[in-house]
Amino acid sequence: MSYAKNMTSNVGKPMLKSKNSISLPAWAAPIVVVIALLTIWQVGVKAFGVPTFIAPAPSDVAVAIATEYPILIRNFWPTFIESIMGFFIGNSVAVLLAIIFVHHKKVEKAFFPIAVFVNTIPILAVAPILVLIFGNGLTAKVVISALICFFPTLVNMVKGLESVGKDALDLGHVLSATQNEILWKIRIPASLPYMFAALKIAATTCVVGAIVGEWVGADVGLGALIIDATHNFRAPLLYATVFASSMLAVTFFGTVTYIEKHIVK
Amino acid sequence: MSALKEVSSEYLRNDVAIDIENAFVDFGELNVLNNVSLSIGEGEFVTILGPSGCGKSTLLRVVSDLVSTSEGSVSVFGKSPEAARRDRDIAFVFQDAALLPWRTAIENVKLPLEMGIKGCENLHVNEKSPEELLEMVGLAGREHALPHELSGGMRQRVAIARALVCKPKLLLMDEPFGALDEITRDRLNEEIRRIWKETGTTILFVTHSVPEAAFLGQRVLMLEAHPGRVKDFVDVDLPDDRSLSDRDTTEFLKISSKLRKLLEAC
Repeated sequence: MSYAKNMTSNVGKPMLKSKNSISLPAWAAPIVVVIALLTIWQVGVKAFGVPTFIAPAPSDVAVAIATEYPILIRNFWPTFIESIMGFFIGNSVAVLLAIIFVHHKKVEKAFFPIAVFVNTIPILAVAPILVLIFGNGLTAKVVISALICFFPTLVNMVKGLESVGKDALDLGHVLSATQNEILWKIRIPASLPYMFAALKIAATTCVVGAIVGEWVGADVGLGALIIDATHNFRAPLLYATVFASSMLAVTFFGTVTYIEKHIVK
Repeated sequence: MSALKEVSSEYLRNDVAIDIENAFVDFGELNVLNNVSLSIGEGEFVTILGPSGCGKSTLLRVVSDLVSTSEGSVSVFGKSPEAARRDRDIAFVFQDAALLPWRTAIENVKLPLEMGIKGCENLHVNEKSPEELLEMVGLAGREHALPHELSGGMRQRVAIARALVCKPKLLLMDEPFGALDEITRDRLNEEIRRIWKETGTTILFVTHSVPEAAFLGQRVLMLEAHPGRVKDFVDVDLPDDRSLSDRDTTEFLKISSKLRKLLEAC
């Protein structure tokens, strides 16, 4: 009797469930949260009468973005070029070094500790040294940006190239494959997921590197603009610049993710 | 010595495919193969059975030039294992298929055609195309599936098709069906017999399973462990046309129990 009752009540359930659940696209939830946070910020700052030079409201920042647009763009491009050059140079050197490491264990043993040591020096501490060496121009920023990209990519790439199973290498040997064939047809494809994980980290850190370089000494760039806006208490411009830096990193990250989707199966 | 050779020559209907004399293999201090001598004729199907640690896999790796002997001589079709490997006489099927996960089934089958100093195109390529080979192992229509989309048995079928693409004279199989369920294993056992008869290639097949060793092989090579050495060659007196139901015949059970007893005595 109760068994039959259970059965009938279960029959109705799935239909009820599908009616109750609201179906929203995946991007809707974060958008709602962001709008809510911006609203709280706007209302909070205005309600407590916080001065604009300490904490501007989102509306002030939006006004700054609209009115200071030419300044933002003028300072955006140098940072863009520095970080993208740093990204390519840092990651290329890391990938090449990883390939050498995997083929020559002795070289890895000799150089890996040095790479670790270089990585332990805070980038903020090396930046002035590099600006002293390379001067106030583009080079120092590119080097700092490259340096900050380098280590995660090196570590991930070595791991990726070595992630190939023993059987796959044995197979290569039985097929009399050359070193090059093993590298290009087995090791590098196997390393791609690791490489993209590292490139995603580098996509955001390369911008950090360029900005840190600009802090130490630069006339142009988002980093220089951040320093300038801070010293002149132009808080809305400062926030707008920070927003622009973030957009730059997000663009790099999105591009890397897009390429990954089309390459990695 | 010559008398011994004559006795074994009754198996060698044709030429010798593998000839090993007094081979020793050491991994550092560990003696893995101890004074192994054996001879396998062209076109033979030999299964290798033995307890773990008897050097079954090492023996295959010696033949395929993946491991070198510290003493003794090994010849494969009258050449060194290295020369045989370079001539693409040998194909290897690994226990876990060893497919490249980013390549589709058909791309995995084609891999041997893209690799090697000479490639194997100017040596000997199977007259069957890679597509036909996939069809032969029962994977028609799954050419473009990635390995993770295939079952364990299907992956192993792809690995077999890949091994056949260069038309090897010697097929080495290292517990290829060890990780598969029994139903899949049975079906693949029948298929590998069919492939053997169709291609006439020499097969050396390592297994843990007594029924598998008896069902597949014309001869079973029994190895002993610690250190690995040859215990015995056991002839399987079953007709060449075998089906899975033959495993219920008294002849088959007799051979199985003989093998099992030898294995227990190892």
